[in-house]
Amino acid sequence: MPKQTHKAVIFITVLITFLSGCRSTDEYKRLAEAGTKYADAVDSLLDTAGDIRINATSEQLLKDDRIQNRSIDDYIKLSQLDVERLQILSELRTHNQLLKRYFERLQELATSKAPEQAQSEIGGIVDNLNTVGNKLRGSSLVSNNEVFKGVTGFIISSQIRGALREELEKRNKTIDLELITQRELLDALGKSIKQDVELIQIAQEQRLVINPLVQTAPVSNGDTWITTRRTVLTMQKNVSQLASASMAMNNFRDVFKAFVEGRTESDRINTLLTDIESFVAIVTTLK
Amino acid sequence: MELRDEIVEKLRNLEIALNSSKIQTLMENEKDSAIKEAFVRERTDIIVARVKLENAILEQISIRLKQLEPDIKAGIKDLENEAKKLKSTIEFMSIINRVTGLLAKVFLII
Repeated sequence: MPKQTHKAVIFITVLITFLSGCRSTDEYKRLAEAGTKYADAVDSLLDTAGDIRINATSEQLLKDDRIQNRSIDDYIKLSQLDVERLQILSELRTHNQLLKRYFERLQELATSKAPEQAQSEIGGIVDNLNTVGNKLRGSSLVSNNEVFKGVTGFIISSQIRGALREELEKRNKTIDLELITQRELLDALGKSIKQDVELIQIAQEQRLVINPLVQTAPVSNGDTWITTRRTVLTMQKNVSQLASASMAMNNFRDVFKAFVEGRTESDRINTLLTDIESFVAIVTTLK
Repeated sequence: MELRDEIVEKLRNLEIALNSSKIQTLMENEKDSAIKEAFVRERTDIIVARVKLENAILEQISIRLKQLEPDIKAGIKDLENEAKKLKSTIEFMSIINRVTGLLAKVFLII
């Protein structure tokens, strides 16, 4: 390749790097991965919140029944609240799926194999041209195949980074508002879950632990009773863990904002990914 | 804290108190069915009020999130278009590769 062409290629490469921003595709990939996992975690919480609400009402109905026989209207009065709650949770899950799709598309673009594919195609083209050149004039048309392949891959890769950067800049305010609102959602759900779990705990302690114990006959299966008692009494511990895990989840907004502003360190995204995993694990134990 | 949040918090505390094992056992052993009926009715009213207020809070959040959907959808579309553009570029390069490949074969035969 002539020297001037080399210089032109280097100049274009530097220019593209500047225009597409300094973030590596891998950083975009991890941010998008965090977004996808965040949406999954919220989905899991919404699902669990519905189950806990239903269980709380079921326990309540049994408690009421122990005081006085319940009618169908009494049942409907409480059950209808669950139906309404499930409807709202379903709407929130549908919205959350959209947010997940957004981050999935970001991730797909960030993990695109296009640069490698482009390198492979350009390599083939250069080889073909060299075959023709050798036949026509006894020498290769392109002397350095690897440089061409490298530059092509780099250009495609920069195009991807540019598109990702442009997208985040364009959608920055919307996603930021989304994550601020999601914080409120996590807070509201967390408080509701805490209340329901506390009610379930009180009810189950009475129904599964105290009642069998105070009956005239001794507890039939001691080991099962002990396990049940432990499970019931540790319910609140899981709820407390959920509260701290929710706070860690809230960091996603700060990480996203910092990333768009070019301030995020890779460690923060890694910590966030770990926090999201812990959050999902805690939510699963609440089910 | 907003007034609504304060009310929900008070209702939650009341609900927990009325559901305590002590009060539950007391009411289960109560002889007067009118007292029993009144107690369950009042307790249910508190539960209904608490859950309805929570539902209203969640509903409001849901409405605000929905307002953001058109822009998120536009983002998804833009990203999909970008992926399509990349795909077209690769497809175009693949065609050039095949054409030059055929050309090279022809020259080798000549």
